[in-house]
Formats: sequence, C-alpha cells, structure tokens
Amino acid sequence: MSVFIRAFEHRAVQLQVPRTLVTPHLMGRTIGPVGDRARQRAVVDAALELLEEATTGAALRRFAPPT
Amino acid sequence: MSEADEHHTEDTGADAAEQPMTMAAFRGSFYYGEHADLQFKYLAEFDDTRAADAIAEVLAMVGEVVDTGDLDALRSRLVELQVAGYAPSEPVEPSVDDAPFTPLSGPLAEQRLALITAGGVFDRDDDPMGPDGPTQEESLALIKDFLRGTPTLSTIAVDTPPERLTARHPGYDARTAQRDPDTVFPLTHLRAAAAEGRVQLADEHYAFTGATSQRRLEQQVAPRWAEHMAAREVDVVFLVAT
Repeated sequence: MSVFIRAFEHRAVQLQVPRTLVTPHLMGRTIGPVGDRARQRAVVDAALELLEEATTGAALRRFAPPT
Repeated sequence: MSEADEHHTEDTGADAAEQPMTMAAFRGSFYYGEHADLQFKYLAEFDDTRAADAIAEVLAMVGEVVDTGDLDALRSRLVELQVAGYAPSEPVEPSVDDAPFTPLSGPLAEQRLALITAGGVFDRDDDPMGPDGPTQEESLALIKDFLRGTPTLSTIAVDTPPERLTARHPGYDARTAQRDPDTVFPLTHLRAAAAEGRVQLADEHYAFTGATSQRRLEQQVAPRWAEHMAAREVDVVFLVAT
C-alpha cells in the first residue's frame, strides 16, 4: 500500500506499484497539511480501504477530499 | 530618509554594479542555487514566461490570503503548479517488467502493518547520520552525496510520541515534517486506527531518505529490509512516498 502526491503519480505508474492512493497535496505533505488532523486521518482511512478492496495489481485511486 | 531606505539605496547601488540576473538564472536559482527553495525548485523547469506568470499569480494570491485567511485556493493552485512542474515530458510507460500483487491473507483487522516513509523521519535520539548529522538546511549542499549514497533504514518504535520525531531530506522541505511528522509518517493516525480494531500494528516502523541511489535501494537494500520486516511477522507495509 503506497501513498503518492499527484505530482508524482506518474512514478507510481512507471513502477507499477501494487496499490497506490494519490493525494491532492504538496510535496512534503503526502498525508495532508501540517496540523490538519481530519484530512490526515481521512487519507489513512482511504489508504486502508484501498488495501482491503484492491483485487489486482497496479490499482490506483485518487483521494477525494470530503466536501 | 529612513534607515531602511538608506540601506535600500546602498543595496541598489551595489546591485547596479553587478550583472543583472536574467529570468532564466532567477528561476534556475530555486533549484539548489542562490534562492534554493525545495517547495519551488520546479520553477527551474518552466520557461521564463511561465515562471514569471506563476510567481506573479502566487504573489497575488498571497496578497488575497493576507486579507481573507482562506488558504484553500492558494493550496490548490500550488498543487496544480507543482503537478505541471514535475509533469513527465513523454508519455508514461511502466519501467518494470512485472507488477507483483499479493492479496491480503485475511481480514484487514487481522493484518500486522508496518509504516515506512521515504521522508527522512527519525527519532531525535537516533539520527541515522550520527549525533552531528547535518541540519535540513545543510543537507541541501549534500544532495549529490545523498543521491550517490546507500540508504539507511531508521527504526521507530510504535509507541514513539510525535515530539520525539524530526526529519531531514535534501529533496523536499522537511521543515514540514519537523513541524508535524504525520504529514509524511502518519503513525499517530495508524495508532488510532489500530485502537479502533481496524488493523494491527507491528512493534517497529521505518523511515529512510528517498533521495538516494535508486539502484542500491532496489537491488541491495530494499530486499534486506523486506526480509527484516518479514522476520517480524509484518503482513502489510504502508509506504509514504515523498
């Protein structure tokens, strides 16, 4: 299970990472902005969901922030 | 004339005697140069016009944020600029021959998970570069040494409090992770998920500096790390790329 930022989504594709969650965050804040506990926890939960649900290799899902 | 104005006049006079900095040199200076800034080093990849437009747009948005306090639009635009800055110049094709996939061996709640980040996080009392290891700022000058070097795996105990953690990385601005390690090493949140019965956690979690020899990482070091984790009955690994 891997988490990448959008700027490096192509790296996950190149490496055929088995399960990738892509976040709309800046470099150095892959899981979420500094101090944003809710966003960080939502990313972790989404990553665990992908870990459970992926059934094939190179599964890539983009994290959609709650609105 | 104020003291500040006098200094400004003096500086202007000194600058006038030097060669003016070209736009190409200016945008290039963000990449480990005079204006080194790991958050904006991608400006070196833009052409002059695109870099100038991006800088002007960001400055205008900063002016708005000063008044409104609303960071969301600025953050979103910065992400878009960063995505453009790192966009591959050619269509992306897999660079590996296979895509191994291992299904979970059972329910997630029964899996033993280890966290590993490429974000250069480490316990303050266990600096992988020794007690006199470089600061984040000093590490920028060492980027070539990092890229040629062999990565070191830092071990972080599952109950390590966030205030014991710090970070150093010559490829991104690790001051972010120094302020909040969970930005790249979400152990706090995984502990919460484990407390809720969502998953089990290993006793050890890990970090390394992703700015390293990728060949050594892939061919020499990562297989040993995988064996180390397997020996500790780790079922799944949660990797955070930076």
